[in-house]
Amino acid sequence: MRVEIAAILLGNILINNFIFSRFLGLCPFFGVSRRVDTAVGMSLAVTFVTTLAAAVTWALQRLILEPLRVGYLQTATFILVIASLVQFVEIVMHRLVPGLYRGLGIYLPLITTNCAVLGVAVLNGEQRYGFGGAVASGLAAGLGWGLAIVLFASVRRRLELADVPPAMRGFPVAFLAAGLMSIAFSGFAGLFSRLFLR
Amino acid sequence: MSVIRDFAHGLRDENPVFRLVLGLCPTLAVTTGLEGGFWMGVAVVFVLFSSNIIISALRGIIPPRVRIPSFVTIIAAFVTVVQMLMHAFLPATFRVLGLFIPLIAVNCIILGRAEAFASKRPVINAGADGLGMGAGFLLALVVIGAIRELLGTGNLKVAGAALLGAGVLRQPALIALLPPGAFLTLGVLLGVLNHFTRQGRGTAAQHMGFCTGGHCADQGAGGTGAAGGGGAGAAGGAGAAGGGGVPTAGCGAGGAGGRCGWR
Amino acid sequence: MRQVVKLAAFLMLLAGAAGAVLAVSHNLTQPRIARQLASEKQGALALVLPQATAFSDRTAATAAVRRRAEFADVREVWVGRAGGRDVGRAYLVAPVGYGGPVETLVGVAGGGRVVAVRVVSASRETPGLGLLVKEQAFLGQFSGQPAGVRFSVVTRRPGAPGEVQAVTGATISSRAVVRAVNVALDLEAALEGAGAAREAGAAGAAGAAGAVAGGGGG
Repeated sequence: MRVEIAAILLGNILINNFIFSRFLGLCPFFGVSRRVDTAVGMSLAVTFVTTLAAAVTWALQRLILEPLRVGYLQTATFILVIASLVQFVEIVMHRLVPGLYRGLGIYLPLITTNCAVLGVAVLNGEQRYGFGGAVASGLAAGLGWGLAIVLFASVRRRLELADVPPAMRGFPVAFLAAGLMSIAFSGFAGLFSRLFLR
Repeated sequence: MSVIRDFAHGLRDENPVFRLVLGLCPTLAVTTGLEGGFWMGVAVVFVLFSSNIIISALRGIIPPRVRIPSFVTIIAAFVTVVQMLMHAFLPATFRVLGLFIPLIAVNCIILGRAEAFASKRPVINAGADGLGMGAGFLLALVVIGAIRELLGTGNLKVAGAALLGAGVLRQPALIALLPPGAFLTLGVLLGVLNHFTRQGRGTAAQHMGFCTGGHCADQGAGGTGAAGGGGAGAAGGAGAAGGGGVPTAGCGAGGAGGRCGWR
Repeated sequence: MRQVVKLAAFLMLLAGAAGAVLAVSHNLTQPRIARQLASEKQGALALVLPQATAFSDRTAATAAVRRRAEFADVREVWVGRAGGRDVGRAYLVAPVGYGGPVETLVGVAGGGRVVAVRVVSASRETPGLGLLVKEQAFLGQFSGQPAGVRFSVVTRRPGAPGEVQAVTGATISSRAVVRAVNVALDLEAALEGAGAAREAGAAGAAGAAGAVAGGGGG
């Protein structure tokens, strides 16, 4: 069981990184990664939400949707659950850690439309993880997303100072940078698989 | 005519992918082939059109404080309908698109248009806007998908039939089909488009503009100002929402009139 | 407070309406989807056990044997019949490949001989790489191998029986399929063993009953 959890963690963080491999959570990725400190703050918030959402949607799927055979309501219920979760997290953060809450500002509600959150919830259902596996998967998804965005923010800082042709400034060169980083991450593909082969 | 304009702006001036750079997840993920891009585009057209029409029709009776959850519910319902229709009538495509069909429901384009446009305009205009934006998205996906498939396999396949015989490349660049290729293709494409449409440096694809549902502010010098103002405004909105139960869900917060705002 | 109740009521109404629309759509599309799944399944089964004319689902019946940890990835067990006899079993095994489960259908005939292998679904594998495990170029290697052999992945040309050359650049996906085939063979052996034990037990019981009857009568 522990080996499987480790495999799930490594899988979602490195081998199938949510940004560079699975293409989940891209919009905020390109929008928020201008500065490293906002990137870090955003990653913490997203990781928190993905972990919580993975747990809650697992329960929703196994305890309600499947026994009642209303699996087709998965998309709608998951999204509404995630939206409520984000709202709930906002309220809690506002009470408990107001400084962090203010620092994150608009980025907190944006997490609802982050494909990574809904993505990991749906993927967990497909892979038929147990509760522990689902939570690990959610945690790893957020951590991997955060790793990608923090790394990318550092690269973006450099890009701003570089002499980029006018047509490529802004998004185009950012996408190229992301492409190169994606190549780097694809090197993880075979790294750990031998350890976890059953 | 206003309706025509509402339709057309989604195709070129405010193309969701090439100008607004929104809805990136499906754009990069399903464009490993011409067909994948096409059907995802069709699905998005259907959802955008339908949800825009319903939301516009109901705009009088949706209480403003719960508009985002209402929009989300309506959009999610249409997405699920598309899921079922695809599963029933296009099972192979359904499998290819996989995870990204349910993800249409959190596609910024749809929620953004609902907030910025559909909830404020009559049904016909909203429908035209939905069709236009969807068509623009479809166009973008087909172009990207065709390029990636051509580079990655040397051929284009439509409904199982290869359009270019045995292929036009002796050694296709497989990387075009892989994740890195998606990023690189879109980056180059955006750069090329920027170069040939020098209609102002204030386009989003160039400046990572602070994009409202329909209009991209030239970030340029005023960038931090806009972002700062947007941040404060939305944080205020989010704070107030703590008491009122309005998940701002990332798109639009009171004053600025609808932003699917990334900084 | 009234405000909250009104808002909540509106949302409930909206959600109810959406739910109703979805339920109706579901009922309208489900029969077609089920028919498609069934025909796809029958088609795949016919491909992996070509000599069979009819198939019966034995997934439930084999639950006891499948409870072992090594058979966790087995999803379905089918028996193929022709002319009133069992001609083999087909196993749907779904080990994890590169990005997700790789659903593999393995047709096994008597003595642990693999008839054919089909990959039913590998939607999380990489197009152009891992997805190529669905092609005959790869899957054909599993047919025509001696019975009772164990499969393994190699990256050069296969030398010994049971060696299967991986799809270039897709070792992980290839290994997943090989794992599926080996699990299927193990389960086949386990089921055969359980069946033989049952028959031996029955014969033993019949023998003992006969002896008791003989003793009682004698």
